[in-house]
Amino acid sequence: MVAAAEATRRYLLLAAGDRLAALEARVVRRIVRALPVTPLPGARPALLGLAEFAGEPLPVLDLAQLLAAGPGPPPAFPVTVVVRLGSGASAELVGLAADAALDLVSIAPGAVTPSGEGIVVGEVALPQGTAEVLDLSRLAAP
Amino acid sequence: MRGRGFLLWRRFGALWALPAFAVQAVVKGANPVIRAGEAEFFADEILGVVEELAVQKPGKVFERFWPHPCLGLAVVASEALVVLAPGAPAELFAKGEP
Repeated sequence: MVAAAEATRRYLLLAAGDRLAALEARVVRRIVRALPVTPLPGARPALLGLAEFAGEPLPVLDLAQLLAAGPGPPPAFPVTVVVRLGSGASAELVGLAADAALDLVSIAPGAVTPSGEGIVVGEVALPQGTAEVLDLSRLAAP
Repeated sequence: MRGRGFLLWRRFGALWALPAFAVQAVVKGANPVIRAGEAEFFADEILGVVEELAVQKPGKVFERFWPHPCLGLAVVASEALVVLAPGAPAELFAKGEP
């Protein structure tokens, strides 16, 4: 019982279009009201643009586009989730634009059904619905 | 990285910079143009030169989603900007983009 509890990880549950996504909480640095973003010409579609966060430049990605999500209800409180990817000198702050930050949930690794592609590594059934479990380290893969 | 002397301009609502040493000429007027090497970067507004800029190397994620030559990212007056590398494609700044 204790071992099972220790094995669970905390995830931030996000809404993006018609999808739910679970993002490991340890990479989350801040959740803020959607930051204003300046689009960049020549960007791949998922890059909404650049924002300024705490005096630092922040590339902001559209989570719904990364998930190829369909349209969802109009977001009442859209957010930018600031995440830290990588470590040491190669660490990078990235913003994820999402429709809402819904909850913090605990998920045991055994509850995740491996599936998906891109940044999605699996699915998990939660009381809020089926969520796609994200591995953002894949964002840096070529 | 801290560099000295960057030309700043605005194009398509975004802020851009080039190291001043790479700039050969700036043509002001209704349609400003920055000449750097053989490239001509169109601008909506030339903002001038800043002496110092704290340039952060581009991360892997940014490079993947904005795959063009750049020295990094910076912030000026609470606004994020891309510091272009000499050799960045001027076509990005042509009319009709983004």
